[in-house]
Amino acid sequence: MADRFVVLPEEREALYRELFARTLDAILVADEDGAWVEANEGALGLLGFERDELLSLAVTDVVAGKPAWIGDLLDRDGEWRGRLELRRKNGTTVHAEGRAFVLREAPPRLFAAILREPASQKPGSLVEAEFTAIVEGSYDAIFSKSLDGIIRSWNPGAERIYGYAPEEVVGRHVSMLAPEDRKDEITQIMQRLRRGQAVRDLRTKRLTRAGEEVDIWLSISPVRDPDGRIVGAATIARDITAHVRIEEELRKARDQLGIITRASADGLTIQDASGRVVYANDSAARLSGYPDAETFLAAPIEEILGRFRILDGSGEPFPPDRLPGRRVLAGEPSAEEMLLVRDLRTGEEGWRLVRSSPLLDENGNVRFVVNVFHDLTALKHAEDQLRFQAVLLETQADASDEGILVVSTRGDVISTNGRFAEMWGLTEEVLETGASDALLDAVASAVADPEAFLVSVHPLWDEPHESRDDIPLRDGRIFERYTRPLQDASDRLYGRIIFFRDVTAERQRERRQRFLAESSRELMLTLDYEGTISRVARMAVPGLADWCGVDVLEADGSVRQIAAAHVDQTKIDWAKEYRRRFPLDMSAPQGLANVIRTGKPELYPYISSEMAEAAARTPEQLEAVRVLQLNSVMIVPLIARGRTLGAMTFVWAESGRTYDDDDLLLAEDVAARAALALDNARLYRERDTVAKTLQKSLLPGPLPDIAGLALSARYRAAGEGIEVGGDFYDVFESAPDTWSFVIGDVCGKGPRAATLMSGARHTIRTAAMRARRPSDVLRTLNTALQRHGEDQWFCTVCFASVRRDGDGMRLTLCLGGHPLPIVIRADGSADLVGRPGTLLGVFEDVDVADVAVDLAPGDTIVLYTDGVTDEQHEGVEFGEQRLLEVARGAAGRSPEDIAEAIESAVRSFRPGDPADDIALLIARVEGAG
Amino acid sequence: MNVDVQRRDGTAVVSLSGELDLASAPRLDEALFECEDGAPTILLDLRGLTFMDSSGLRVILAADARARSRGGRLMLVPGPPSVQRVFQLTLLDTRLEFVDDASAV
Repeated sequence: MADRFVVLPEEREALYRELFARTLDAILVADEDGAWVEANEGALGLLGFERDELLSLAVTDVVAGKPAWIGDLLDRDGEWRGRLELRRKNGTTVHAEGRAFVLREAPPRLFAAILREPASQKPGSLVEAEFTAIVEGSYDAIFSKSLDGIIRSWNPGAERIYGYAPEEVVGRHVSMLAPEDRKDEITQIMQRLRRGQAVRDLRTKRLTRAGEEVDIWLSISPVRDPDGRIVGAATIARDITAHVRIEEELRKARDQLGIITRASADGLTIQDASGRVVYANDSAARLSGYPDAETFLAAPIEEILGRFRILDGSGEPFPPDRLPGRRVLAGEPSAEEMLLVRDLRTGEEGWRLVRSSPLLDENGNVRFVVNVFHDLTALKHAEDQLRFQAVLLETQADASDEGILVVSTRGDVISTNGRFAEMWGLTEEVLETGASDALLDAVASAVADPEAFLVSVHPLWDEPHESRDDIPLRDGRIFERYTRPLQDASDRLYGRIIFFRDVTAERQRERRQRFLAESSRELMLTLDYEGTISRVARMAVPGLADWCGVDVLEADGSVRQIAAAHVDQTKIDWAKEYRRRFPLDMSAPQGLANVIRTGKPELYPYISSEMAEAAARTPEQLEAVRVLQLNSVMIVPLIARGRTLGAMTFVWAESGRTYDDDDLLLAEDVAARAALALDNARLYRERDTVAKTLQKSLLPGPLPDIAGLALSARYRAAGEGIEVGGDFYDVFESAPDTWSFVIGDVCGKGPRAATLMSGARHTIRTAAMRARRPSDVLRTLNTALQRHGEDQWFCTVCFASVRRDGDGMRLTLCLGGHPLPIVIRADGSADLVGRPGTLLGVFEDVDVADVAVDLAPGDTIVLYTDGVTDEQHEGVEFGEQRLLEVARGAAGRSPEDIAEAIESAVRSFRPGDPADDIALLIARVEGAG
Repeated sequence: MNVDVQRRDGTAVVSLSGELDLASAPRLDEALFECEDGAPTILLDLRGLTFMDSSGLRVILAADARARSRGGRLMLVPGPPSVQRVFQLTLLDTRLEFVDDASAV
């Protein structure tokens, strides 16, 4: 029965050949060395290789996870059935199942495998209706074609993009959609598809029905039947014309910007409409602290933003929605801001000029924002430098004796002037390094209290206030530090200028003046002289001395220390102990004893150890001297009225400071005041004895007898607490039968006034002998007082020259600033006589006039001092009028009675001791009446 | 004695009231010294004084001398007659610069 159907061997051969070629099963033949020697189209389609490619491969290149060659798979019967994992050309794997067998037994042996993909791997699991809905609803073009390129289906998306209705294209070849120059592309695509290979993400051009070329994105996949055979292909196409145009624009823009970018090193970023950064150049990356654009773009935006704080020009945080990029995204045509960017990790700050501009699509919507970052840090820095320079120039001209330092808000030293280096003794090296730390260290090491100084430095950098303080240096100098902030036009703080002025001399002067004023007040206010001297000594410490001591010369010639001051009481005790152990050698050629002996001050600016050794008489004393740490010493005599009362000693010891000539002048001044106080106090203390004795010695003894004149004089010293006064009177014969009457008042009280008074009296006596007129006498006195050199130590004098004239007397009267005398006539009237004249001792020229007054018998002249008229009670003074009344009331009485009447009137006017000295000199012409 | 000091435009007006005597003179001296620091011109108003003796004169003379030596001025507003009498007797009314009243400055 089989004969009718016998197939001839050659037919059989053709049949096999056709089957081999056409079957969708993969048929592969390998030799015993493990190389492929034959493969059919089905195998090539499954694996994706060209025939030649596959035949050059080893079995193990394709079969994954199995023995080296197919022969190893076979069992004893030379057959295998099962499943294999195969590697495709594109790297994916596919599972295939089937059988393998020995094709040729004789060597070289050949093996064959027939494999196919399992059905479960094929597409088609989607419900068809759903699939159709998706295809129909897609915006993209979706169409299918057979393996020979005939279009089989056409969705509305395809109609939209290509312009053809389904009936216009179905059944026609797909190459109708390709432009002439891309027909080859269709052929290649079909070949790939026949091999089961997909086409992904192909950008190409296609023709529309209207003949226009459109940019198309394609994705084409082979379509297999349920048995896994490739029966056609499905195409998804998308119109990307708009994309391509924008990309083209962007590319051009990039190219242009790229040129700018490369030339200027400006940062450039491009954001898409969602704000995402899609492009950045390397400069933008570097400005943001990233090594290159790739790293920058790969970094999450949170990370980038987290690295920075963005500030405005005045250092306030910049509102994110005002950033130029955001504003352009929000619709502004362009935006520009100057931003201060602070890198939070490094603390570095940089200025960026950020300009943003949009790239619009055809509808005018923002597609991209281009941001350009211009790094202005260097420019800003240069600007600040210029400003600093300007400030320096401005200040250097008028303040060249001040050291100037300019620092940035971070404390970097921007500039110094020459005087600054000079004042602080800074070396070239320190300045040249420009290192702020080195400079600060050098300065701090020169100040007396480096710690406090350093604490005071930092707040200066970025505070917007002026400041002024004094900085004491270790070497004793004092610098005033004045600082003020530097601000630009918009009040941004960019630095600080610091002026240093050497105020050592100024502060010393202030200290001296303060000391002088305080000590003078002390000395003026009290008569407790030892207490006063102690206070003065204490006042000198520590401003003018570490030590201050006062020694006085006692009546027996010994020297007694009455005051010693030091900040440390134990040192004072020690000094007293020293004095007890080592009594002063009054014959010593220098030092305290010598000063007291000679009345000459001594200044030892620096006490060397040799000097200390020379001064010490014994090793014990030398040791004691060393304990005192004497560094600089002044000893000034206490001299009052030509007499040396003792000495004041000022010592700089542990402070290491030194005295100079100015200090010596101050010390002498203080000593002079102290001596006067000392002397005044002594005078006061011995008031009842010394003062009165002195007073008496200055006043004339008994009044002379003058023929025809009755005289009376009175002197009453002022009350308790007031030292020797300055009133005086005198009556003497200046020429034969010519008598001089003098009454005067030296301004002020105390020994100084008394000295002047004594001198004035003497001068008047001498001058009266030679002068022809009273006014000459007063002029001579004026000149003498002037020569005395004491400013404003004036004197008022009434001088009368008296001669007999008939039975009366003629007075030639001259007044120098003195109250007018009173003449009481015999008839009981009383008047002021004479003409006021300039007070004496103040002005070079004086206006004094001689006035003749004739006194008849019975007439009386009353000379007095202002203690009489100035006496006051409850705000009312006694005055000339009251005196005249008293005089009138006493008319006709004796000079003694008149004096008594005046004194009792003054006394009853104000009970108690008079406030001022009172002196009266009264003369009455005797004779008829 | 009260010493009242007011400054205006380089002029210090020092007004005195009460008694200017040995006890109060140092206070005037001190006040005048202080004024001289900042004021080239000092106007010393004596109208409120009830009394003045030579101690007061001395302080005023000293201030006048200082003013002259430094190119400034000391002007005085006259006091009551009893006070003015002191200036008359010493002829200082011709040597010192008296003005009619404080508004003259």
